[in-house]
Amino acid sequence: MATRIFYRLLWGIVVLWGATTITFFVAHAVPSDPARVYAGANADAETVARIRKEMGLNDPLSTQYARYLGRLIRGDMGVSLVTGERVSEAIGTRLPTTLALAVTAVVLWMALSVPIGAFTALHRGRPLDRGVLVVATIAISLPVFWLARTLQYYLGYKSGIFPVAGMTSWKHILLPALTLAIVTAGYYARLVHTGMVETLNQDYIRVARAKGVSEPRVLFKHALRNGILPVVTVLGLDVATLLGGVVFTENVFALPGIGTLALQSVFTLDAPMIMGVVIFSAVMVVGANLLVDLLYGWIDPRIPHP
Amino acid sequence: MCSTRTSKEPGSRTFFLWAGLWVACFLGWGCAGDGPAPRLSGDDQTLRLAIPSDINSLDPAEAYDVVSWPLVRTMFHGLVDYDDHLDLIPWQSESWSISEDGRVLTFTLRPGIRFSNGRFVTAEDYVYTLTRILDPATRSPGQWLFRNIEGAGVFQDGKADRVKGLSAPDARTFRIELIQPDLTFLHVLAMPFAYPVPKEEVAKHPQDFFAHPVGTGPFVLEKWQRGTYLRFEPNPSFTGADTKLRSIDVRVGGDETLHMMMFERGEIDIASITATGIPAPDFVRVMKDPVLSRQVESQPLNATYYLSLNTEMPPFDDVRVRRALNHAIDRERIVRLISDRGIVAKGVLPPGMPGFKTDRTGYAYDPPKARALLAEAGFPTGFETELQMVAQNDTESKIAQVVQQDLEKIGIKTGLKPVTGATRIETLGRRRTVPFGTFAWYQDYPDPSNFLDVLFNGERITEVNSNNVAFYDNPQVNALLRQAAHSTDMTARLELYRQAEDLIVDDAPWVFLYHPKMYILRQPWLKGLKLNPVWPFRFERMWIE
Repeated sequence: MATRIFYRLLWGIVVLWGATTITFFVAHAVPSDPARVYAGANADAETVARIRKEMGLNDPLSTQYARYLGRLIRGDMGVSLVTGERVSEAIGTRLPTTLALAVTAVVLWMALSVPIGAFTALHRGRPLDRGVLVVATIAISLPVFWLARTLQYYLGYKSGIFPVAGMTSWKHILLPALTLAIVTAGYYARLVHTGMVETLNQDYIRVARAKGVSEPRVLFKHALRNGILPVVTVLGLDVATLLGGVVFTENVFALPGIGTLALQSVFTLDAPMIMGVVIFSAVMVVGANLLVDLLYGWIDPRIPHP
Repeated sequence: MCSTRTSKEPGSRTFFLWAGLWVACFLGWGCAGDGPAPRLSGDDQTLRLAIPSDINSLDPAEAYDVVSWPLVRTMFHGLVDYDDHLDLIPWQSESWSISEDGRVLTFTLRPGIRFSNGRFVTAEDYVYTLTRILDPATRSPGQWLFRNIEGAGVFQDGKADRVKGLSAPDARTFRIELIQPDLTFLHVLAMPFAYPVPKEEVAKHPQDFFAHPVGTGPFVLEKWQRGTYLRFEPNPSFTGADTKLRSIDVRVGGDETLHMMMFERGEIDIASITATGIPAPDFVRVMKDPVLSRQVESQPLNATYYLSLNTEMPPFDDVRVRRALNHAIDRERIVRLISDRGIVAKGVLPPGMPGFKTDRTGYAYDPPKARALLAEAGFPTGFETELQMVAQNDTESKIAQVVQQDLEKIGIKTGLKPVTGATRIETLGRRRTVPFGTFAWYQDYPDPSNFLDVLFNGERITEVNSNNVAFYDNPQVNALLRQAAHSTDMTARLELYRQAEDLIVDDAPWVFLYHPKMYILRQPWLKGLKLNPVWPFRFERMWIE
């Protein structure tokens, strides 16, 4: 098993190198000049040229790439061209917000989707199931930026139930998390529904029922564990994506997370910061994939470990 | 097969895993600090503001934008400043004199001024500050403003270890020697770049002085939670006029619409401190609201929005085509479309700028005349072109659509090319790259040279990063600008700039669109907000009542 994990990690490093390389060259292919962005619209050409030199942007791209990769191997993600902030510190400062948002959103959408999915599986094909399907489809189709603004307007601005935006107390995380939970719970409810329908038709469930086990116990004790297996794979990747930054939601609610950092870096073409965020996101995805594989074996011992 | 659930089962473990993560990240966030309170609590003297994105730097040598500057000015003061009439006045200098040839400026510093670390300011601090700006390692975006100092070039090239033209004969006397006489240099010294910084504090934080600012202004940075908020508190060493505010809290993040919501819930005291002011979707509602409209303050800005016509690229290398475009576009419609938050431009200089010619007529909206000029230039049926504009900017999108419709009327088919702000700034300044694009220029200081010399002097054209984005080169204009730059007679130089502007308007390297007006919405309890075209926000003068 250790060997397999080792190879998976090795493969993860190859993926990270690929992501880094592609991002580096894409970031430098954009027709813009980070020195000009830093210097502002009014600075003259000589000022921009001197700043370019100080930033090391006059070196050939291959030299810049080698320098960047060398630093990265030593754990140094560099310094923002625009703010002078260390990239690793910038990500570290924003991570708690993104993490709080991701975890709260996951807790909310799982709390919504698992009971709904299990319940509709029990009532498969009935009007209630169809009604929930329609609602879930609508929820999945909602554009997140529209829902975020709508919830913000009615539940924050109009009613004052939640803070409108910012991140100055734990309450500030609830509305953004609810936004993400609504658009995601529908999909997860359908996943749980499908898994549960399949599981409820298994022989061991029939045996449990024949032995007189109560229906809630059959459902939540015996069926759910197998029924939510498909959810684990998707959840792992979704959490990784969330940790990589939730651009729209974080921006609408002015949350100082990774998504906001990513967007600002793109607007200012802050190449080291863009690459830092991409590498961080890639690490999350690679890590989540590995974790999901491990979790699969843990949840269902019949599945071989990676 | 039935078994009893124990704490070792995956379900329980998963629960504890999630719960642990949730607690850990909230603890992590909680350790970062409390941040500003979400709502204004009665009459405390805390000014609450919101900005769309984090500021880049609080180092006066680095900060160079409309959001950073008013915050920098709460912590740093300089030699000279502007009064409400835009006249230069002594600030942390007691007096100054200019030599007869206009090349030597001598300042006597006010006694008793201290940095927020407690040390008294001396003339050597000013020598250090300006030398630091010129030092390439500082990467100051303002270094171009100081290159007229004697010895700046050789210092920047590493051929001298000091700037010859900067000296401190004694602790209170600071002397600057210029290469060429320059009446605008006092304006340059009024910019935050020239506000003194203590050498020992920069040495303590060589890489991040921007986050540990120490200056001579009435406030100090108390906390900067990156991407979240900034808090400024009174500087105990400040000896100038007392400020009533006990703190300034700046929340970071959110767009104008969000800031408007926060304002209407009383969470912030000014709806927007960006150049945009009141967001466009809310503007009409606010102006019609009997209560909110009384809380609006407005100020024309010294800025010009324009369409750049690349005079080196066909068909815009033909002056008749450029004039045709100026006649074809309905500027009044554009101003109406931006809810009258601007003044129709008839030339380059905005009305608040010295040298502004009040009787300039500009180009009237006259499509038949535009068609005739096009026909004369050999384009009787028009042509196809592409307008580069910034996609994220609502105002530019509106302008671009009006331009597209107006040009269609004279046969010019205009495609829109949306780009990011970063791409626009790079490509527009690159020679023979963008034929037609939207842009704006905001003054650095209130002098016509900051528009005419910077943007239309053909001798300043460079292959890349040119500020003369029309690549306009008229030897007659260049000569007038050169003459004006070296003139020490203010009346004569303003006349020279007027003549230069006449020629520029006639040559039409831009389609002159409008000069923006800033509209600000403040809470009724916020006092002391008096907008100024150079420094719209002077937070240190405000208070809560």
